[in-house]
Amino acid sequence: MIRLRNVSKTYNKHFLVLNRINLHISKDEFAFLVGPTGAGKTTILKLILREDLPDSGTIYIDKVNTRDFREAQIAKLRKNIGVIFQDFKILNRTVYENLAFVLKIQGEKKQAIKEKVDYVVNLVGLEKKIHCYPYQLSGGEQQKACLGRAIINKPLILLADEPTGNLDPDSSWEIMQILNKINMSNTTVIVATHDKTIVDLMRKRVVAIHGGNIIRDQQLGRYHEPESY
Amino acid sequence: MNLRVIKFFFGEALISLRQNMVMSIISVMTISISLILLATFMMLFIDMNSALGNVSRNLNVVAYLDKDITSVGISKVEEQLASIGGIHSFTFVSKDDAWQRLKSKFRYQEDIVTLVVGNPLPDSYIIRLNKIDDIEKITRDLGLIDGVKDVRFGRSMVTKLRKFVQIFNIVAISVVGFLLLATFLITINTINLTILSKRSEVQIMKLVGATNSFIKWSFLIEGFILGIVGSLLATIISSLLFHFVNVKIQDAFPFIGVFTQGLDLLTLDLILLGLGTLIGVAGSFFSIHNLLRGILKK
Repeated sequence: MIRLRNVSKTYNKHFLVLNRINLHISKDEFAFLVGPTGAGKTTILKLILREDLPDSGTIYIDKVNTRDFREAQIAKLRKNIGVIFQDFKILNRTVYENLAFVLKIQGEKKQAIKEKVDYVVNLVGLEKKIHCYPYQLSGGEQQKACLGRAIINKPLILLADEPTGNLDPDSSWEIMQILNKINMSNTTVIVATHDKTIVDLMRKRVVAIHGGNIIRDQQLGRYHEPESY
Repeated sequence: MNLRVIKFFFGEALISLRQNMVMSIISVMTISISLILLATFMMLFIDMNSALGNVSRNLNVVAYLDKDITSVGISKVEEQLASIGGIHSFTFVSKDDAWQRLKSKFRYQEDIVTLVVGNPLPDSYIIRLNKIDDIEKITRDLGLIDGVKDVRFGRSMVTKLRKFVQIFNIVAISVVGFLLLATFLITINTINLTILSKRSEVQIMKLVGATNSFIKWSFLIEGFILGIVGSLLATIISSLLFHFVNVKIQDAFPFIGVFTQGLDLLTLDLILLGLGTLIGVAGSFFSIHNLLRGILKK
């Protein structure tokens, strides 16, 4: 599904973020990218989302090199990738309008939009907040709205960048349970986090990154911070 | 692009305008004020030009005929006058009429008139021209007519007036040009600020799979709405303003031909609407193009 081959990325010409990374994530897999701040987790997500290009190396999504994508293909790729962020990044509109927006830009009809939005708000548990604006929602609810928007399109891949960073433990666990449910319905989920508790409780694949290198890749892994951190 | 998509773009534009109400109002006001200023100057210049045209039309050329010209000769002169292009109208003044006018002019200095024996004045034609620019050529042609002895006009006045009109036109065109440019730049800058305030929104749109052209269309329609509302407001205000000024000035100075003579108000309204819409759309285009190209990574 996703393959990074010898991927390097430098910021401001001198700051090496990724150093010849090799990573393969299979279809329907659930993987955590763990490591301290600045380890390169978010950069990997940005490269997969084609928000940025590597300095060297190649990234394949479904066997297609992302470097070859043109603007229309990037837009198409993003329709197949759901993204959630630590700072939510939702539009200043109601939950319904936020979720419907993704479908509207794909030209979906009104009735189909309504059905899909209703289904997803139930899935993420926001049915009672459907007509609320972001400022009327708690952090956990805003993240659920963001999650709903990310999955409304039934994406093949779901990228989550520190999804629990701003949430209390209960909300964090709720979000992870929803992500797990989404993964069960054949969506590849990649979560960048440094939330040790969540990683240890979930027992999924853990890819540990440090100083731009993958230092550990383990199925049913735990967070395990190296002493050098 | 089908109707549903157009409806969606308009819906998105309206949502965006509502959410950024303050910036939208500032943009509309900027467009309106700039266009009202532009319209005022345009009207002023056009009317001044029209007034100068009136002055130049009122400058008469006098063609004096031979003293012993017969009535057949006068008819022939008249035929030739009618065949010369650029003449607005001409009036025959007989030597008797001219003498009466002279006498009436000097009615308080009767002794001057009584000194003159008989009527020394010739028959003449007072000729009004269409354009002051043609005066030299026409006086030359008039001089060639058989029966015309002399042709006179206020040469120094014409030269001064012509120079003034030339300078006035250059100044008028430059000022309107600069105002147009200023209107364009100020409006683009305001719309640019409006769009920059929606930077994160544009980023989110791109993240959920909106193409650049999709985002551009949303903002172009928003610019179109800003432009048309701004110019409509400018049209209404400037129409009221010109009507008010017209009435007031005509009351105060009835001899001056003021606004709306040089240019039909409807034409001005259409120019304002067209300009406002163009500025709104162009402003949005430049701003969103710049934002997508320079600020956001693909």
